[in-house]
Amino acid sequence: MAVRDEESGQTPSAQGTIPLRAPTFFILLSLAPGVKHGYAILKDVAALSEGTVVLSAGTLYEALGRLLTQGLVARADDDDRQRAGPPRKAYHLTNAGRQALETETNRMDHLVALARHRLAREEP
Amino acid sequence: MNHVVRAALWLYASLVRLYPRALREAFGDELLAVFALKLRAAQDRGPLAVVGVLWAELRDLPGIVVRASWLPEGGRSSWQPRAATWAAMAPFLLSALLQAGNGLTRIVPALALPLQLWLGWLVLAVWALVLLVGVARGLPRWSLPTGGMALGTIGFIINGSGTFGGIRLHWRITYPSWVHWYGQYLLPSIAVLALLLGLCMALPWLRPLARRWRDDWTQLSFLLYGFTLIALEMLDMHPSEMPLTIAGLLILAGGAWAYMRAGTTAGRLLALGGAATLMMAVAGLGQALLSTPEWHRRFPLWRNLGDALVGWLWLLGALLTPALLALLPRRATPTAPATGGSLPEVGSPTAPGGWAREDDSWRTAVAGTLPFLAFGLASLERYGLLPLVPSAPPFGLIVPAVYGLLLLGLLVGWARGFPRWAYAYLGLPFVSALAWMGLPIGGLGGNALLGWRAWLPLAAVVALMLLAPHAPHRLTCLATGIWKDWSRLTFALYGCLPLAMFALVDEIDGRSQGLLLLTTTLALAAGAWAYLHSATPARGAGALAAGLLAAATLISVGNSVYWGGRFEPWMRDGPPTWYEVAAQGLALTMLAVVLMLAPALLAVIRHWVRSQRRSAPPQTT
Repeated sequence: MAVRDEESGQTPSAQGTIPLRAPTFFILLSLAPGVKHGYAILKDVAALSEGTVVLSAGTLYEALGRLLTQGLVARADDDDRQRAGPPRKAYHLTNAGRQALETETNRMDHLVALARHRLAREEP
Repeated sequence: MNHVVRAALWLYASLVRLYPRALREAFGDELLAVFALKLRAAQDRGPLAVVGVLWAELRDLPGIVVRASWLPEGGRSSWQPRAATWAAMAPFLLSALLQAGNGLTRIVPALALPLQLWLGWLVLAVWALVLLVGVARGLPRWSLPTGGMALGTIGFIINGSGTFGGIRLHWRITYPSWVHWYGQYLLPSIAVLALLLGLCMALPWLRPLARRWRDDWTQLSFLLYGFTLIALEMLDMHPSEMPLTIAGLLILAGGAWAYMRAGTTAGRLLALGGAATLMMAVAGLGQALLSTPEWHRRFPLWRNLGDALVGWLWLLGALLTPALLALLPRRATPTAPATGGSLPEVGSPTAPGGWAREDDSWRTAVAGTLPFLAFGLASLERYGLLPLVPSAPPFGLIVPAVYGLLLLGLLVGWARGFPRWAYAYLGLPFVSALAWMGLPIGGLGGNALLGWRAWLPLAAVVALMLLAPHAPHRLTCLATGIWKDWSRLTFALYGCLPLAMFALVDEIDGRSQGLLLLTTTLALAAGAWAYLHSATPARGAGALAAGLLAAATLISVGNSVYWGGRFEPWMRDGPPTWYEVAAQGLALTMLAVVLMLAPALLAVIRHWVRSQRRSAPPQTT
């Protein structure tokens, strides 16, 4: 019997993440312009979603942990060295993350176009 | 910062401990920091907003735990099982299919022979395929339940009762009466598994397998899980046998699915233990509630439920047995010092004042509190509060079981170089042997007492410890451990308290004594747990003092209530008043506090002096 040292596991990837859940979508969208730390992401998500998605700290970091594993976001050093207090960890979008965001946006675009087309056709 | 905010911060810090370990370790500090910022922002909107922020965290907790523990791949991973998960569920689903086929033959008798034949061959072929491919691929997780069924079959043959494949087995192992029939099936399987594990450790080409099992012992639990369906045998001949058995098998399949999805040890254990519990609940309650009057006459309700309860305990015990693997010392790495092996460096320079916060995992907590909990649970059994053992063997099952546990703890502590939890096992085996010299041997030798024989197991264990490799180094670990952290001596003395508490309530009647011992040992266990998780010597000493005082208070109150005004023929000075009894209890407690806590207090003082010296500015000349 040939015994392998490690069992083959699933490798993390962005595949299979589409469609994105609303919190994941907004977190990625929040990181699209650049690097942000946890609390800034929370505030941005609430603003972007016009208050419909208000993340708890636990949900945010559970999602960030998953996105880090999938390689959609990565950690970055916080450049704000003038700020007092302990060093904060910041996050940025990776190429795979940007691609996932674009794919999801295109998917939603397609859905919206489809819906508009159907609604327009059914008008008397 | 007002009180509401402070309370919310404290509550959230406690809440974070409930998150899966991986999430906590990766983001613990950030979670607290972001929560504090959210609170600060909410503070301006009033106390209700602060409570709202905390409520949002509480509300999201269950979902986070499930997603982070059970769906490690994360994302929108499909809830459809993959091929590996189907293979893991195969033994249970195929057994359910067989049951359903049997049921169909009752409805359509003409189908009986061809259906049973073809279904039987199909199921056997799939089992064999999963097993063969699994063995060829090095027993990956998905093949383990099927391997467990094969293991159970070997255990069945070893037991030797009945027939197997048409061949009559002429031998039969006789078990003591207290071994339930589940135990009779499970014990040989566990023995074969232990043998297999020993082989894997001994043969170089099988060592990767042993290492994998050592790193994740739940794989062995999953292996044994494949055999848990034997518990459904209790439904044999029951009027609702088929639907209940199918329900039980589907629950077990669900457990296998959850195990394959779980990403942590706790999640995996929860999957297996939860499914086994649910299966036994469905089978046990279904058997009791869906019965005919005839069945009830033959098997009374309480007997059915008791049978299911004992079976459930056996199943859980079997699933947890592989946890013993985690207590084995790890093999020394090539870079480790030759004499030190894998033993920890006790009181290393990184541990100021000799106080190093050691591994505070649940394993440490269980190991350190087990001697106390064992005494408490034993008292439940001893006083008939939880009759688990229908017919006890000579001189009781409880005494040897507790003694065996203490000796095992001592041995494992020795093998691991005496970490802090192991000191709970240092004094108690010796004091117990001394106390149990007075126990009657019972069935073995008439009215004779156990006497010197009580020391034999302890002597054997001590001899084994002294003859084992690295014995001088381990003795040095023990001595330096105490020298560098005197509170360990206090913990060793604290470990003797269950027996002392027993001596103090020995004359109280039956169940009151049992309840008193149970609550006392729970208080002691809580103190031990807090000690093992303390970050400073002062907190450690405080934890032990709190445990001792809580236990002593319980005993004093219990004794005062029981003995106050009670007269017994042996009392020369008449019945005592409750306050006389309480005063005696107080005096004894003070004596125990002074004697026991002295080393821990010295450790606190030494730690403080050293930290003062370290913080003092260096003197210039």
